[in-house]
Amino acid sequence: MSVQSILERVMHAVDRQAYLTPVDQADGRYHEPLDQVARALSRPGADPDACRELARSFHAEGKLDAVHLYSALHVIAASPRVADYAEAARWVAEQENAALRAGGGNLDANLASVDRHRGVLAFLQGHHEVALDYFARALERQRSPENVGNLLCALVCLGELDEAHDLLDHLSQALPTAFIRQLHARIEDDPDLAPLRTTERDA
Amino acid sequence: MSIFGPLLAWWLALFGAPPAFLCDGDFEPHPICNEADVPPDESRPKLKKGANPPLDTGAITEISNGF
Repeated sequence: MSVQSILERVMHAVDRQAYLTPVDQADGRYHEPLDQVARALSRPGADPDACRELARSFHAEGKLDAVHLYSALHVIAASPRVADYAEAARWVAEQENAALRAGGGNLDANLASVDRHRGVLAFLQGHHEVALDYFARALERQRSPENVGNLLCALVCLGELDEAHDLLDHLSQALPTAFIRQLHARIEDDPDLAPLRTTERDA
Repeated sequence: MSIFGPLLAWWLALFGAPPAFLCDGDFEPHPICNEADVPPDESRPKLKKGANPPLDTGAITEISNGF
């Protein structure tokens, strides 16, 4: 696996459908319950068990399907408060299986979520090149500023700054303005991406 | 099949050391037999991509793990 071949895949994916509006990360029907789980998890002193129970209750009420329940359980397990990566990996496997069982028009988006989660697990455990491969897969399935941002993070952590700049320049020309605006907003906010800020590059 | 291998094995079994013309005289392998001294193959592509040292941005990781 080489960085260059991964970048070629990304460029190909972007060029092939450069003018598609990026798809929302999760199915819109599940935004509200997922927001509630995310808010519960980010509270100071949050209880992971209570967050898990909240996600399970949404699933029992039919407000979350199995794919998004397992995604939520993964996000809780991988959060800094829990940091149980083995548990997080098990939920990703369940999520992938649920996505394959469900199939349908959301399959790519659901599998992009699986790839993103696996990439995050690799990234958090210091395997940046493995993370880069997963993030590239996620981006191939779902063009979103979050997926590009993660990919840039992995490139920066690998010391591949020139490639990260080239990718950013290429995307800026190929993707819609709103997409690029969101991406630059993340670059300004995310300390990992500080080397890609305009002032950093000019310095 | 070369007879050199069996011949060398027979010699080693008999004398406990390789013949002098293969050594410097102190039973060290002759330089030409030492793989570490073989010059690098310039025709092989140099590893460049991914060979850069990881960049420590000194930042708290904010990787995005969206649902």
